[in-house]
This record gives sequence, C-alpha cells and structure tokens, in this order.
Amino acid sequence: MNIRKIAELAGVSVATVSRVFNHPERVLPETRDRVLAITEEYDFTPNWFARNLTLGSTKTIALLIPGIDSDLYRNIISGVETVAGNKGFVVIFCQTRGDAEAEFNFLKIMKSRKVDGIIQVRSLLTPSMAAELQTFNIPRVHIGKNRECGCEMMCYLDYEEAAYRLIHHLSGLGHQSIVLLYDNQGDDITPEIEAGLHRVSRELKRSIRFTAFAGENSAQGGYLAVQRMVQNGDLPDVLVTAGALQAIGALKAARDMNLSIPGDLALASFNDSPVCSVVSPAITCLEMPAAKLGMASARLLFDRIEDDDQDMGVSQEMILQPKLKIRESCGNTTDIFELFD
Amino acid sequence: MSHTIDLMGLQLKNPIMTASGPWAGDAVGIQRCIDAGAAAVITETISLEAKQRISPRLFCDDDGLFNTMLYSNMHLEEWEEELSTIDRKDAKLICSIWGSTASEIAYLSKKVEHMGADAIEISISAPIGSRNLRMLRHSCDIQEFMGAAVKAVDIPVMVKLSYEAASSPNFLRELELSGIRAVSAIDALKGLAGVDIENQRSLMPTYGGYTGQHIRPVSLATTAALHQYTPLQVVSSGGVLDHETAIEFLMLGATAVQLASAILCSGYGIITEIVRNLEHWLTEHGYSSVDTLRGTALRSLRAFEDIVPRSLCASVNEKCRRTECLICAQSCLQDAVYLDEAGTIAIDPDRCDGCGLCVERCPHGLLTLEWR
Repeated sequence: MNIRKIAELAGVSVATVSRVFNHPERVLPETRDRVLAITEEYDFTPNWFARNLTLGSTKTIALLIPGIDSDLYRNIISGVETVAGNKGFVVIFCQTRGDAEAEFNFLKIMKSRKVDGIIQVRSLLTPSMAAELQTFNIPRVHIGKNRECGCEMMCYLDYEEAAYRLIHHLSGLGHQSIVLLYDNQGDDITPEIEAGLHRVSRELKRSIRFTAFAGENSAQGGYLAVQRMVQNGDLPDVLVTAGALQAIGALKAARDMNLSIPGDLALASFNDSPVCSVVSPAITCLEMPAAKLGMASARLLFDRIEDDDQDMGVSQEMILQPKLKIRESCGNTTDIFELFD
Repeated sequence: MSHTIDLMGLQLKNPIMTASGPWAGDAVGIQRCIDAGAAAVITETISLEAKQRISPRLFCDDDGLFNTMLYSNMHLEEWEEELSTIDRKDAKLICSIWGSTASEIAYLSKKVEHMGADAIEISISAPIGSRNLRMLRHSCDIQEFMGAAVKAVDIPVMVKLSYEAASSPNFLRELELSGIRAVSAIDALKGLAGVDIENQRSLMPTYGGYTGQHIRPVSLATTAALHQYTPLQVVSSGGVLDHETAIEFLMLGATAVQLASAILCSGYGIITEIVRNLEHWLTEHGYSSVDTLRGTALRSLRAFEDIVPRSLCASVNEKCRRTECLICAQSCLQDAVYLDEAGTIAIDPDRCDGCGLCVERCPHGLLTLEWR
C-alpha cells in the first residue's frame, strides 16, 4: 500500500492525501474522514523518510556528548530532550567518548541523516576539522566554553564565578590551602578555579596555596587522592573534587584513615549530587544548572531551526550561573547556611 | 470620563493591574484577569527552567498569606503556546521573567518580546530560595543585568523590588542608569508563619513570601519613599485590598497598583469590583483623571526633623466610668491616666507628655489631644 493507491481508492489526488497527513485543517471534513477511513482499513502509515524529504525537515536533532556516566551529562541530556519533546522533535544520541575523530565522523553521519540541528557537548574538534565543516549549513550549538569548534552558538556555565563563591566561603572559614582533584576525562577547570582564587586573594588580601592534580571521576578516584595526600604527608586544608562521586570516595578514605572531616580535612565538590546531602557530614557543593544548560542550548538551536532569519538581536552566547550549596563538610556549623542563602 | 494612565509609554485603561503570580499562571488565568477588567496583566514568572512546585505552598496566618512559590512550572514552549491563545481586548500583557545571568535575562527578554509581550517585569527579589541577598550584595551587577534586558528589546522594562532593594538609593540609582522605565514594589516580605512550640518546629518548611493587608503599611511607606529616591515610575503592590487602598497608593505617588493576595482570597471578581468602585469614587469626588489625584497626599508628609513639637495634652471629653475597659490607663507609660475618687477616667496634665496613645486606643473615641 502506498499514497498513490490510497488516493485512487479515496477518489482524490495524491496531494489531497498528503494534505490530510500534514495539514488536515485545510481539507474538507468529509474528504478527510474518507481518506482516514481508507488508511485505517489498509493500515497505512506515511513513509517517514519520503515525507521528510518533501517537507525539508526530519524533526530530529543530534546530541553529541562525551559520555552518560556523570550527573552533569545525564541532566544535560534530559534538558535537551525536554525541549526537543516540547517541539515535537526526537534526539539522536551520539557518544563521542572524548574522541575528536569520533565526533567528526558523527557530525558527517548526522549531516547525511539530514538532522535539523546539532548540539555538541564539550567538543574536541580541531580548527582544521572545524574549517572542513564550514559549508555544513546545519545550525549547531556548543555546550561548553569553546570558540574553536565552529559552532555559531554557545552555552556554558560560569565556572570562574562558581569557583570564586566556593573559595570565598572556604577562605572565610579560615582555610589557607586548597588541592583540586580534577577529572582526568573531563574539563580541566584549573584555570577558572585559579582565576576565582586570585579574585578572592585580592579581595580578602589573603594568600591561598593552590595545587591541582587529575584523577578518575569516580569514588575510587577520590579515595586514592586522599590516600596519596596522606601518604605523601601533604594534606591541605581543603580538598575540592571535580565530581560528587570523588567526594564520596574521599569521605570513605578519610573514615578508613581516621581523618575527621572537616576537622582534619575540609571537603567540597565542584558538582552537586543528591547523595551529597545524604551523607554525613553533608558535602558542600556547587550545584550546576545542567538541565537548564541543556534546555537553554536546545532553545538557541530551535530559534535558529525555526527561523533562519530570526536574529535574536542578542549575543548567541548564553552563560548560566552555578549555585553554592553550603553544607557541613568545610566547617560551616550554621543551620541557616544550609538553606543556601 | 477616562481614567487612562501612562505607564512606561503604554496606555492603560485604568490604574489597576494584576501582579505576577499563580492567578496568571496560564492562558485561562490571564484571560480571567483580562475579562475581569484589569488594565494590565503580569504573567507568573517565566524562566529557562520550569520549577516544580512544593506542596503545600500556601500558608495562612489570620489574614496574612505566605507563599513558597518561586516561579512558573511551565516550560517556555508551553508559555508560547498559552500566550498565543489569549484574547487581550484592550488590556496590556506584561511578562515577568527571571534569570541568573545577564545573558539569560537578555535571552528571556527577547523571547517574551517575540511572544508578544507589551512590556517586561524582571523579578529580582522574591524572598523565596536564595536569590534575594545575592542581588543586593552585588549591586554593581544590577546595572549590567537589567541593561542586558533593556538593550535586547524594544518594549519597556520594569523591575520588581523587594522592600530591601526599594530602600536603597544607590541600588535605585544603578537601576535608573540601566535604562529601565519603572519599578514595582514591594515584593513579598520574607516571613515565617510561626513555630509549633510544643514540637519545636517551624510551621513552614522554608522561608515564605509574606503578603496581604498586613504588609500594606510597609508598602505605603515604600511608595512614598521611592518618590524621593528615584524619578522612575512606581507601581505599588503589597496590601492593595480594595479601591480605597488603591487610592491611598495613588495619592502617595503610585502610577498604578498591582493586585495579588486580594485575588487569592476573594477570586478574580475582586478585580471588577475594585475597577468599578475606583471609577465611581473618582467621579463622585470630582477628579477629572487619575493624574489629578496622583501624589496629592505626598505634600502632607514631611521629614521627622521638620515636625515642630507641639505642646499637647490628653483630655477626656465626656465622663467615662468603664472600669472594665481601662485601655487608656494601660496605654500610659507616665501613669497620667487614672481613675479618680468618683470612679471616672481622669488625666493628670503634669504627668501627660502628649504621646497620644490613649487617644488612638480608646475604643469609644472619648479622648483627644488639646493645646495646653
């Protein structure tokens, strides 16, 4: 069964059958009912590919993301999917695993699949790859602070301001040395943290010692980091982990090694997770608005997809603000701070 | 007779608006506000991320209302859909928005302008959650934030202020420089309904926004004070209950007023009632327009330092033997009010210092202050 036969059986033109599916409001009700009755009788559904080739839209967007193993990425996916769903689009999901080559290939495949737009999370495209995509002609949004991947729109979190707020809090509690455990697979947030730290130092006229090393973004990674610092005999005042799981691992290591948190070592995480409020002591975190990040970037994308000429008149960069959630693990003892005010 | 007013260049058919809140949380609610006769309707606050609502979220304390609602639980896409179905008639639609960075606010501004908003109200200081202090502590950011919205759109932008924000001349100066056209004040006050002392528990799980008739005195004072601090137009909210309270705000310089708790407690019909009664009152009292009444009570206000102390003393105007009442005597710190031998209320002029509390509190109106 195809659209031609349906048209023949209903005694209407192919164009009319097509209108019944795409613009039913433009078809006389009795004609529409006759066509629908026949399609139902013969269990006919329009050929999705053929339909979209004609309409010039496949109602799909692609999301290229390094992984699905962190709360941050999961929430970004959820945010993108929510807005796409609101728009009646489906999302094709491509896991790039932090590999530039894989990302580049996915982009080419997505072009051949005629997606309407693409969102790239933490792109690793080289400038030469980006140059090759110049003629791509598909709207693209980048999630993360990267101007080299050739995306015309960008959406990212203000890590520097986040670091400033966290370190301001730590410094206010009298902490003078900070070690950052960053994610060896994720963004190196060291430059932003250093920038935030310098702002605090300048403002409070205090020097804060800072070092950083990389570790796996897992409980294991956090555990090993504490073990390493203890065995090297250079325990700082505060350990800041990139991920919440690392902080949980650090908490376990501290318990195993009879270290008191926050007495011997203060602990904070650069990413929040529901578990951080459940453990004892509850862990001070930065809450990253990841779902909102996904939603905002999808909206930038759809603005462009829906109206090529729609110049929003504002910068095509959107910056979102993380929120400091002060709990117990850095030495705060005020209940009221836990209300995050 | 016409009661139109000019707000930020928009012609409003009367000075009665509805504030941002759940009564304007979707097309149905907004339509009901319009149909009831509001000159302008402000949507519930639209943000990039719809917020789930907690339940319960509304609390009552006698006639006071507490809410723990931050912003709309509808997505931007749903708002677009909802707003397109509204029949605006001759009312203006103002979109309330909130974002945590300048680029976010600019984006939302542009979006709601595309969605057909006549103006924008930026909500910066609802006392729920943790955004209140942040904005105030970093007032240097405010010009950048609000300026981002003003630059992004061609429609006028106003800002809703908390009591604290509206009390800071520096903050208002920053706002003025950002290019916004009006301020609305006051937003709900941060409040708690009370403590269950038997169980050592707060009656509410988190701070709420305290609204309704009990915050009216604070809001009245803020309206008057804003006139001294800023040339921006002022839209008053907080305790507008009926046409008479609306007139109070207008006489203290408000360009228009926003209804909020009144709708929650009395329904959408209160809008119609206030608009009708206001028009009736204005006609009856011979005001040719709202403009001729605006700010007329301000001249009766003066600085505390400029009030010349008068030598007054309480006096009883008719014999009072209500020994069961004695409110006047209880109200006198100087023990100047007493029962004489005949069992009637008397005043000792040597003790009375003219504070006036007995006069204010006498339920029968038997006392006055007289020149010594």
